Amino acid sequence: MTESDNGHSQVSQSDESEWVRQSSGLEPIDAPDSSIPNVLTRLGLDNSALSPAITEDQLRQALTDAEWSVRAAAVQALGKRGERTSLEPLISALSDENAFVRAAAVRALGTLQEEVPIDRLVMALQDSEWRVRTAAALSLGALGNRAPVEPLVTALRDEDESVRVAAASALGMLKEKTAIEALRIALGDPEWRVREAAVLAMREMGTYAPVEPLVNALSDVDTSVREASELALKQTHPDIFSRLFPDVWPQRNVDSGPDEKE
Amino acid sequence: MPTSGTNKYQDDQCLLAWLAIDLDRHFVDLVSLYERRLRAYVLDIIGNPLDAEEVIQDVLEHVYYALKGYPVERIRTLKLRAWLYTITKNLCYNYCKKAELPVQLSLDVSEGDSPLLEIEADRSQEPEEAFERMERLHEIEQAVQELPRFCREIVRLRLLEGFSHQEIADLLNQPIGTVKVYVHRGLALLAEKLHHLQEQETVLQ
Repeated sequence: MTESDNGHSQVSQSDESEWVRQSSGLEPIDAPDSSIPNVLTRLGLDNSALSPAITEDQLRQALTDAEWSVRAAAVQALGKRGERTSLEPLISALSDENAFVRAAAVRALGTLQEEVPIDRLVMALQDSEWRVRTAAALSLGALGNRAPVEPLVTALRDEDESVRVAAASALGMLKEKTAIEALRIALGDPEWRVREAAVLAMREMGTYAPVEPLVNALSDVDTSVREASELALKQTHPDIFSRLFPDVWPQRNVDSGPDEKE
Repeated sequence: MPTSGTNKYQDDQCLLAWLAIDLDRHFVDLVSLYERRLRAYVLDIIGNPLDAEEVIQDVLEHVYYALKGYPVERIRTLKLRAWLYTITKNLCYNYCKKAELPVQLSLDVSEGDSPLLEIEADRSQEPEEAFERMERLHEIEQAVQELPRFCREIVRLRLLEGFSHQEIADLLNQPIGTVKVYVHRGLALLAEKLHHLQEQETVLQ
């Protein structure tokens, strides 16, 4: 099989894989004029690749397909089965040669609230591809206080910006106070998205959020960071916010606090 | 629940509200609404369609993961268009840097040998007049694509995307005065190009 991670499959379709596709109800997606189908396939959001009546055995079989898009769709479908699916095929997919399939496996495992193998998600933070590490950080964050803090703190220093953003967001989801110092350091990140995510994560700490870094972030060079810090400060320390912005308080509409997070 | 099609959202705030409720379900709508515009913007910067295709897919993937990590109230308060273009611009620049490609566009006002700098500010024909005569958007887009690389991005943002001078300044990290100068000069050059095209059409007719 020859295929790249850029989403364009270059597979010569064997009879065997063709049979698997026909029998499983999964269809590969050709290189499109628009990016939309390929993007949705990458993210596992393309429901049209699946037959509604597909069985778990057919999905397992599809995991051996030559096309990465078929394998990714199968992983996604297995994940949607929730606790009804067995972990083994999803864990195996974490070792798939294609990063989109591995990322799909990480996202799928992250939805299995009770059974999720946390150690495998932590291992995925070391994957060679940013999208897998990003998905792993977000999946760990979604686990709440069951997720370990230290690997996510380490991920704040990842070479890839999106991974650092996801790690900061995940630490916010964990609402773990011990991460505050690491988030404070992340506020010095050269990338605005990381600084913004760190501010929003601090906001999740409620009244434990340190005031000084949030106030400093009000004068960040980036608009998004400034907006996020205003949001955070208003919700974590409304008294200070009202002193800093007496003219807009309480009219300014910065809605719902951390407890309303979905 | 919005109905089918990309016109189901009254505005970006409406789309953001739905994205905040169910990102996985409504992300396709964001992609449908913005993919074409972002692709054109990427092409302006990258130049090569094949590279641009790779970058636009990466951009949309990054956008998804970024939204996935946001609290719902942050999604609701996003300035979606400016946010999308900022992410796109950053990823394009990173791509060019990594691939050792020249960034197609620059706001460096020290480009003294630029032909745009020689265009008189008091042109007798206002750019807006020329735009009004061009009825088809794709013709304008085509003309924008043919602008010199260093003003293409700004003209697209101002004319086709409707960004304010301040929004462009924020996006490109440039002083607003510099942006205004380049908008004016870029639009003037575009007007000249469109006027020329119209004259050609008249001759052909």
